[in-house]
Amino acid sequence: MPRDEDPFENAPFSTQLRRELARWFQDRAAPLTAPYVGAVRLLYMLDFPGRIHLICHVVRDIYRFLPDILTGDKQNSRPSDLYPSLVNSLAGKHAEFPPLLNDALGSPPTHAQYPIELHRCVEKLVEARGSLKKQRSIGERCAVALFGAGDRPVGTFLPQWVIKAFKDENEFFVDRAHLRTPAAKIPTDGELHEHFENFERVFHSLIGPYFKGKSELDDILQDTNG
Amino acid sequence: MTSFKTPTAEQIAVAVQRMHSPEHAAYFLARLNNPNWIGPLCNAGVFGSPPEAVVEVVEGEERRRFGPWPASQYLARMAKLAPEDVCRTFAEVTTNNPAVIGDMIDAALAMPSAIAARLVPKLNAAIQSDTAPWRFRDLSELCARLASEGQSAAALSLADSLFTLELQPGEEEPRGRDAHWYIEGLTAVIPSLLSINPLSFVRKVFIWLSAAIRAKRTSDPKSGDDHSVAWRPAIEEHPQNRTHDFAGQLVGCLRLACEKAISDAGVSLADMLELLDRNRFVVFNRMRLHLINLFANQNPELARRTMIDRLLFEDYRFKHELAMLFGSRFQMLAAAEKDVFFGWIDRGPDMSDFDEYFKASSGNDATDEDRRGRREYWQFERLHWIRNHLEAERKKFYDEMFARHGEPQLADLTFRTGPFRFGHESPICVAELEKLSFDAVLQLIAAWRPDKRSFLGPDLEGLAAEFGKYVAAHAEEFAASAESMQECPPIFVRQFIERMTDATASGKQIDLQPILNLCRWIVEQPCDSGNEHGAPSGLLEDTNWQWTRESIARLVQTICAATAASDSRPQYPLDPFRTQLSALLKELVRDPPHSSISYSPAEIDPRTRDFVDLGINSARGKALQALFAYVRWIGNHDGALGDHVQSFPGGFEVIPEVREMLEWQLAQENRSVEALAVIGLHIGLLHWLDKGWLQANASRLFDLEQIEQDPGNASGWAAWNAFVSWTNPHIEFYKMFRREFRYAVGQAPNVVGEDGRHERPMDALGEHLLILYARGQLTLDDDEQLLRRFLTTAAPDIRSHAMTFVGRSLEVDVNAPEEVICRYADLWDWYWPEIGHQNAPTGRTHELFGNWFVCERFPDKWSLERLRDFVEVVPSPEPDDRIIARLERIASVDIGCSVTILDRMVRGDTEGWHVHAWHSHAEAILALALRAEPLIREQAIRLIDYLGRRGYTDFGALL
Repeated sequence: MPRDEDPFENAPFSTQLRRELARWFQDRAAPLTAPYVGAVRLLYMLDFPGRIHLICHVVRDIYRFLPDILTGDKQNSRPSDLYPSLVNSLAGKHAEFPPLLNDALGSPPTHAQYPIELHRCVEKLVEARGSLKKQRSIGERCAVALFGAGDRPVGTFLPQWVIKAFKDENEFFVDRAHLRTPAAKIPTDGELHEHFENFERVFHSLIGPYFKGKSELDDILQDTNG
Repeated sequence: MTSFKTPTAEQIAVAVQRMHSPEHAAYFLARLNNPNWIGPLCNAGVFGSPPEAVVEVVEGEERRRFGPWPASQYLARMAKLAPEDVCRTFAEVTTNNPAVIGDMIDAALAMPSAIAARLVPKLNAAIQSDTAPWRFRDLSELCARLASEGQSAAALSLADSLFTLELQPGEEEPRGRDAHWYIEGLTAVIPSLLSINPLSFVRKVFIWLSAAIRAKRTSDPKSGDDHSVAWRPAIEEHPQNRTHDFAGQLVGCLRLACEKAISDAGVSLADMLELLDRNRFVVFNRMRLHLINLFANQNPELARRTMIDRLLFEDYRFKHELAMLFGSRFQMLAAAEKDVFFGWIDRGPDMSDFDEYFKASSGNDATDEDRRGRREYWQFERLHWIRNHLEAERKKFYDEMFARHGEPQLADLTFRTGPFRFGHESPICVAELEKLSFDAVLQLIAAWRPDKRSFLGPDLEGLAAEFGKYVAAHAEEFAASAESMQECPPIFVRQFIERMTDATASGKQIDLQPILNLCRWIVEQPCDSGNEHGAPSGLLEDTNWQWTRESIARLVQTICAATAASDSRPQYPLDPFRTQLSALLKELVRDPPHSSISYSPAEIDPRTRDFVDLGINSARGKALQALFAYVRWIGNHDGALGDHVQSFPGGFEVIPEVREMLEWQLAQENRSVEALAVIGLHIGLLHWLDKGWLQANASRLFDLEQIEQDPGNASGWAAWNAFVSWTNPHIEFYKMFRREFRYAVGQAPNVVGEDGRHERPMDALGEHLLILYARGQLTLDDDEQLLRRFLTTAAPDIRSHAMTFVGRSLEVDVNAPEEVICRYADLWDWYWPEIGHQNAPTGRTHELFGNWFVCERFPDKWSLERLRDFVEVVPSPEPDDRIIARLERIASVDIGCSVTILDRMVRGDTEGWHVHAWHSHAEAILALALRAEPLIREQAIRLIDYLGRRGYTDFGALL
């Protein structure tokens, strides 16, 4: 996309904020530009089938993959990335080295003796569980990465309430990204717009032009302090 | 009452959205003056998570790193307007950040006491964890206000946190709190807290004072002996009380509390004394006496009983308080009681130890006269207590004693400290000496000895200084009598010679012959003699003739340097002085080499230190300085030192005595860093004197390779370091010492410079090489690439210094020819890509190219491009203010390059204040960039945006 071109083709929803965000994606996280622009367009194509799931899916993926692109770090592991192979390995070893039960006297067994091969598989499983628990949430990772991408001096303080805002918004889209989403959770069009715009503003507040935000705040200060 | 608008939902939404960015949050909260935002911001979670202080352990000491929190600053500002909301919000904040606690304290001080009291638990926790120790004064003020406005429980709880002491034995000041603020705070809260429950509060002060006394090394809790007469001579405020003793100051607080409790809060003297009786420490008994005296009207009987308590009278520890009691309450005693007191005085002091004490202190047996004197003085001191009540014979006795001795200094004190004396005191002033003949003065000074018993008083150093003034005033006259000084102790002889030296230096007509005869006599004395007049009594008194010998070296140097006023020719002729001076020098150059500056050779790499300071502060070094002055003196006589004379005619063949003295210094058994440093300092003179000799002896003089065999004895480096540090570079030196230059360059990778020393010989070596390079006398590849090797292999700090030196020197040498500039430009273009950028992130590199840039000798375009490459690696170049100033001047040459440089420097300002120093220059560069082509303009906009985030919001006006 040429730098000066409006990705939203001068549509009514092509706001300054959206153009700046799209431009930022293009500069800093190019693979996410098209999904973002697509999601915005879809938001206004009310008769597009399945648009709610599709939009939520895109936003969920932006939260998920943006930190990897910005920081170059490996993305968070998901349980489905780790558990199947570990469980398969455990099952194989269980068959190969079955545990010994203390049922010699015919009474119901109370203890099982595990061969070391089997024990190692259990240890790995427990370890994987621990590392998954220790991971930052996707919302927090995204907040930290965006914060760091915003041209800030090292050591600038990122408040918890900002992290929480990212977590909450991410959870909204994650919960609604899949087809199995309960009907009660499927948002109305108004709710979808509200959350989508919230996601955009929160992103934009961290990476958008400083003086634009300052000007908005000056307007509020002038009114409220007066 | 001002009414504030309620923020709209839309305003709240926009502001909270924007405040996700910390820069916007800081901006908004710093300017928000409407308390109606507290609720909405609280709901958004803005006050939920203050930045934590980071606790670091640096060199075993715990330090906290923390920053301000705009949210708590906003709350503190709103405390007066919405105290309930602010209090509720702060009560939910948990933090270890001292800045946030500071805001909480400010808020508490601004809100009504009834509301502030609710913050006390939070503040107590902060005090106990030492979170904001420097706010002690404000917390004390809050404590006093809470107490005076009826918040008793909160006030007492805060007082407990503030003033309870947990001291380890030997720890005489409160930990984590400033003793001054502690005492000032406690003094401030006493009146208010006494109003709540006086006895209970006084008891607390007792406990705090007891803790401070128990922690003192000198206190004994079992016996109660606390040595308080030393650290608190008087219970009341008194000039002799020590202002720096914490427990002593705390006694003052207790006294204030006790006095106010009785006088203002209705506590009876009896109740207070009962409280005091519970503590064993002596100072509490002294406090008891003080209160009995002060409130004697409440219990006159007790005051009288106390005055005629013989045990108290005899106990020196109660002397001051008892003296005060007698002084102000003596008239309360009945006639019979007064007789009891006078009876004790008439009986006199216990004299059982007097004879023994007298013998020990004076060395003599006590006579009846001595005993009577002691007894009368003791009586005088006791009568001094009641001096305003004396009558008849006793008054007559007192007045006589007063006339004889003046006011007794220890009548009511056990110790007294007075002003210290600086300098020395003479037993006789110069005006008195002037009345005597020179011979009489010599007899006086030779016989006078100070009184050993007197710590202060006249001393020999004082007398010598006064004698010096006397000699100085009559130098021409006394010079003739110089030889009669032989009967005097060395300290006076030294004074005499030094004053004669001063007179010679100032051009007075001095008859040198008698003085040189005296000098000759001195150097013939064994060096360790001269103490026949008695052992030295002061630190600055000569123990032998050594210091006088050093004065002689200075005299010789002065004689040699003296010139006639008319034509700058030497004032003193070679005949007869040359023989006499060389004879003196021959002895003096063999004096001990040790410098008066201490250093340990084992701890110093001889390649890294310039030893000249040691040399010129050693006896031998001073003599060698005189020797070189002697060489110049002879040269001046022969006209050989003229501007165009390349060498001394005849060299050492004409002055063999100098060669002999120098070669003695080079012999293995005589070598010393001090002497060799002084010789190295004069390589230029030696080169002029006899270059053949210098060439032939260079390897013996410098002997740099010795570092490999025995670094502790590699004294030749002292000569080398002095040479490279103090001699101007010249190709002749380079040619003569090529071998040494090569060897020293070979050592440059292996040395680590001494931190904090200005003279770094390896740096000076680099300067030599680069100046030769600039003159075109040494290329990068000459002599097996000597310079190239130096600039690529020398320790990073050393090679960085060499390159930095170029910029500095060009700033001074404004007339450096164009070819020099071209050579240096070529050097940079080789150095930076080849090696410079690699070691730039470490070491002394901030000034590396900065000085090249600001010297303004290199072409603008070239300078900009090289600076851009440099700041890419070193984003905080120095001198940054001058760099940016020049950048503004030449920005139009390449505005894109200039904005890139500015961008790097702004981002490289990790300390956050440098931009302030070059604000206007940066503004001008950015203004120019905004008018440039789109890409440059965009870069400028991004930089302005960044500056805004850093708090430089006025750059926004450019957009």
